[in-house]
Parts: sequence; structure tokens; C-alpha cells
Amino acid sequence: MTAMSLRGLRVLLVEDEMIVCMDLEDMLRDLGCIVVGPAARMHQALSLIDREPIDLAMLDINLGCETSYPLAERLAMLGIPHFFSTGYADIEPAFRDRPRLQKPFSETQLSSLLIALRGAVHSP
Amino acid sequence: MLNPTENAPGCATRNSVLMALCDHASEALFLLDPQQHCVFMNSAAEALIGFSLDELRGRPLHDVAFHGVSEEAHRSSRSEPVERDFPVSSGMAERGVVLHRDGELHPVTYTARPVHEEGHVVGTVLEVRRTRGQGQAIEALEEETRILETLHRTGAMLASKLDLEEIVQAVTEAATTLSGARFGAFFYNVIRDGKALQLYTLCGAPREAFAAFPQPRHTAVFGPTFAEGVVIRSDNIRRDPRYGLNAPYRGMPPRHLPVTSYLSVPVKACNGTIHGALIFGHEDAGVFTERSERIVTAIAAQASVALDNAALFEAAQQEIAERQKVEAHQKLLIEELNHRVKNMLATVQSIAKRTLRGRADQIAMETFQNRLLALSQSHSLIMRENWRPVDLRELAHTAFAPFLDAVSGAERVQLDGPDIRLAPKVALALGMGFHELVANAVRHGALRSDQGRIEIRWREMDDNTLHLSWVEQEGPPVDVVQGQGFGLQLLEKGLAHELGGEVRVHLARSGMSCEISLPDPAKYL
Repeated sequence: MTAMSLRGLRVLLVEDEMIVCMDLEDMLRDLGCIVVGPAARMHQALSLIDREPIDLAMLDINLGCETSYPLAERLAMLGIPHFFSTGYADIEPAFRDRPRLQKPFSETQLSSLLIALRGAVHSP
Repeated sequence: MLNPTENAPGCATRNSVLMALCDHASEALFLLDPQQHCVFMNSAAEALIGFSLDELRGRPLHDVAFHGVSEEAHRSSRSEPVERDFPVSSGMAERGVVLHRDGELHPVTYTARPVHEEGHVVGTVLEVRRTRGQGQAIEALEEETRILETLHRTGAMLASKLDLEEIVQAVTEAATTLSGARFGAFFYNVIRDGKALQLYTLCGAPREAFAAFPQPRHTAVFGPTFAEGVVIRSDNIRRDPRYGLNAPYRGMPPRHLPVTSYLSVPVKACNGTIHGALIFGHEDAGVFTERSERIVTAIAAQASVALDNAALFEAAQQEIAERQKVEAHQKLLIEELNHRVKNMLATVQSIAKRTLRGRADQIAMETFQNRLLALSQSHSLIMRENWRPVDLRELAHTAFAPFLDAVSGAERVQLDGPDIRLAPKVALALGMGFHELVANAVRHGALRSDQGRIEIRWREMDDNTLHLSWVEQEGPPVDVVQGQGFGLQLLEKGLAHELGGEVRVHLARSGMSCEISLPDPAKYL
């Protein structure tokens, strides 16, 4: 039922850790989403944002030697809903209003958040 | 009549006693006849005017030496009777002027008392004492007040200051003003970045006036003050035997401000070490008195206390800054550690899922994932407390959260016990234990049906042992023959083994119960 409501949702996946990234791709596909990316670096993600239609974005904060905060800013400017999936407990004050999934998380936690944000995708 | 030497027979002895008394009096005493001619003076009176009694004979005292200051006295004729010049009423002290034989005028105060005989005034006793000029006295008083005020202000100000530069500047200024120096300097020792330095402040001279010269060294003149803490006061330092002994200048360097009067006072800490020295100079000779030395010594004592305080304050500030730096670094490390633990758990979760995908059944997969998430949740709780002990009640809530929503949880799970803090190690282990108990209750126990309830009670014993009981009630009947699963093992062996506690699980048809006791659960690191 949850998978149905998420079917066809285009989700940008930004995650630099290979194994976690593969698992998240599986989880998103199992939920019926279309994975845009994945991107492991900011410039990859920025060019995906420019090129691809995106409904929603899922951002790891720490991308090796850079953070995904500028991505969050760009997405906010474009009005694309997004959330952080992170191992960090503490994030930059300016981004504390963003939804967040603390790693590790379950499929249930992921799908609940996606459904909640999908509402935002279709609201005017 | 008014002749003290001429009297009734047998009075000679008494007269000589009287004369001796008068001569020993420190005030000047005159006895005048009605014509104001002096008929008696004691030695103080002779010293006051510089004339002897013989030299005054035949002349009124006024003509020679004494003048009242009041209008009436000035107007009166010199030959008038005594009452006019020294009115009967004047038992009070009046002001006047005495002209000494050598031509110098001395301000005086005097009292005049008429001498009566058979109702007539037969003469006047005049008692005269020298005063310092009134203006001069007021000036001296004002000067004294100013010094006291400055000393007081300096003391109060120094006591309130903790900044070294402010203290030394204030000390230099106050001491220079009060000592009467043309200029003053405060050379003081400080330790900056582990290096001993001597700095100085100036008053009464621009910094350029000294910039070209080396700092005072342990020469014959400076050494006693800087090294031994001795005061040096000289009316003319150029004539001091210690002056000019040391190379290269053998005295003051060329173009040095002129110094004749010299005063240097050490500023000593309470432990005897020398903070530095206050040095004063004046181009005139004999400027610094014993009094200026005393004043500067008093200021130096105040300065020493203030400098001690400043040093303590600075040390404390440094300590605090150092500690804050360490704490910030520690916080950063903890945050990084937390982040890595989380990412590692996420990676383990992903590896397991991808490895077991299609090979293990769904329940096994979920059980594994739930255990991993439970571990992660307990870890989050500890992280939030910065690796300090966490609350037992909160730990239990965390374990229940994935299985029960907040409302039904409050109804079906009862938590009852005092606030108890658990060390991180204990919290992680007990958190896993709680998770196994809840997961078991959901699959096989009280939470399998809508009616079942769980009561969790705990208390702390006098020896800090924690006793916790988990009792499931009103659930569906329990299948007593259950295997020794991982959950049960983790409870019975894991908790007991890792924390040195005791765990007893009791399976009954009416519901499962579990008794846990842990020694001193806040103690572990």
C-alpha cells in the first residue's frame, strides 16, 4: 500500500558510502521509487538537479571532504522537498528545520518519511 | 607695685620658684603695666622678639615688637591705657604679628588678661604663641588631603583592577604625582609565552625620551633595588658613590633626561620575589623627602597586591581558555566518534541485507535489523548525554518505541521506579536486554494480544545494586516449552556475564517474568 503511493516518485539519492548507497537504492526501488543518481559528490548532484526532473531528494550530509548543505540550499530554492540521512546527531543550525533520518534506519522509517514528504510534492 | 621681685618679706623663695616656672613655659609671657610698658618677660618671650627686658624699658611693647591685627588695635594710640589695646573682654585668642629684632615678622595668636587690684586694672598678662601663617597652614592641609585622597583612590582603584597594563599605569601616575617627581617609571617583570620580559610604563615623560636607552641593568645604582629589593633615595645621585661605576655610560647616557634627585622603590610580591621597581627623577637636588619615600613605599605595597591578583587572574583565565579548547576538541572527537559508529552500523545493516537478500526468511531479516536498530537507539541516547550516564526510564522508553505508539504504550506498559542513571556500558547492554524482552513480548508474550500488560518496577538497594523486575500479565497463555533462543541467552548470560549481575527468567502459563539485579549500574566507564 505504501509502495503504491510512492510508485514513480523520482528520488535523488546522494550518498558517498558504496554499500549503504546500494542498500538505499534497493530500499527505494522496493518502495516503487525511481532513483535519480545516485551521486557521491556535490558536483554530480548539482548537475543531476539541473538535468533531471526530481520530486524529492535524500541527502547524506558528509560527502567525504565536502558537505551537502549547499545542495539543500539549492533544492530549497527550487522548491524540491528533501531530507538528510545522516550519522551526525548535530547538524548546522541553519538546516535544523529539515526532516532527518538518523542512520541506521528501517524501511518503515524511510517509507513513512517519503510518504509524508510526497504530500509536499503535490501540495500547491 | 607690679614688680614680681619686690614683695613682702619671706616671699623671695616663692618669687624665684615663680620665675623658674615662667622661664620653663614654652609660650611667651609678658607682664605689662597700665602704660603697656613691659615689666616682665620669660625666656620664651625674649626669644620671640629678640630683645631683653632692659632694652624695652621706657617704651610701650607696641612700639617695639607687638601689633594686634584687629581694627581697634590698629586705630588705638600707642600710649593709650592697656584696656584699649588689650580690651578687658579679650580672654579669647586673638591674632597678631610680632616683629623680631632681626626684622622678620611672625604671625602669632595671643591672649591678654587684665590684672586687677582693689577694683582697678593695674596691668595685663600677655601670652603669645607663634603660629604658622594661616594661608600656609591651609595650603599644607590641602596638600595633605590631596595626598591622602590620591593614595586612597589609588588603593581602591588598584583593588578593583585585574588588568596588568592598567595597574602599572595607575601606579606610575599616582606615585609620580605624590612623590613630587618630574618623571617616574615603573619597570616590571612579566612572563609572556614562557619568556621573562621587563616592561615599563612612564609618567611625566614621553616614551621616546627613554626609547633609545637600554633597560636598567643590575648596575651599582639599579641593582640594589631590582635584585635585593632595597630603597634608594638620593638628594643628588650624581654625587652618590655608586653612581657612574658601570660601563658603557658611566652614569646617564647622553641626552638622558636630567636626574639629580633620585628615588627607587622595589615592588615586592608577598613571597618575596621582586615584581619590579618604581624609579623617580627630578632635575633639582633634594626633592625627595623621607615622606615621599614613605608614600611611594605604600603605593608599591598596594601595587604588589594588585600585580599578584592580576597574575592569578591571568593564570586562571589562561587555564579556563585552555580547558575550553580541550573541551571543544573533545566534543568534536565525540561527535566524530558518534558519526562513525552510526555510519558503521548503517554499513553493517546494508551488508547484512544485501548478503541475506533472497537467502534468509523475512522474519530472520527483520529480527536482525531490529536488534541492530535497538543497539543504535541505545547508542543515540548515550550520545545525547555525551557519554555520561543515561536515565533508566528513558532507556526503557527507547526500547518500546518501535513496537508501541505513545498512547497505547502508556496504557499497556507501566514503568515504576526512582530516577536511576546508568553508565553507557550498562545502558547499551540493558538496552539490548529490553529490546529482546519487548520483541519476545510482541511475538510470544503479553503484547501478542490487546489485553496483555507489562509491569516494569525497579529500586536501588543500599549497596547501590539495582533490582529490576519485568512481569507480563493478562496476555495469552504462554507456551512454556520454548527453546534457548538468542534473546534468552543474551538476557540470562549476556547481562549477567558482562555486568556481573544476575538474571532470572521465569516462564509460566500466566506470563513471563524476569528478575534482573545489577551491581552499581552508574559505576562503569
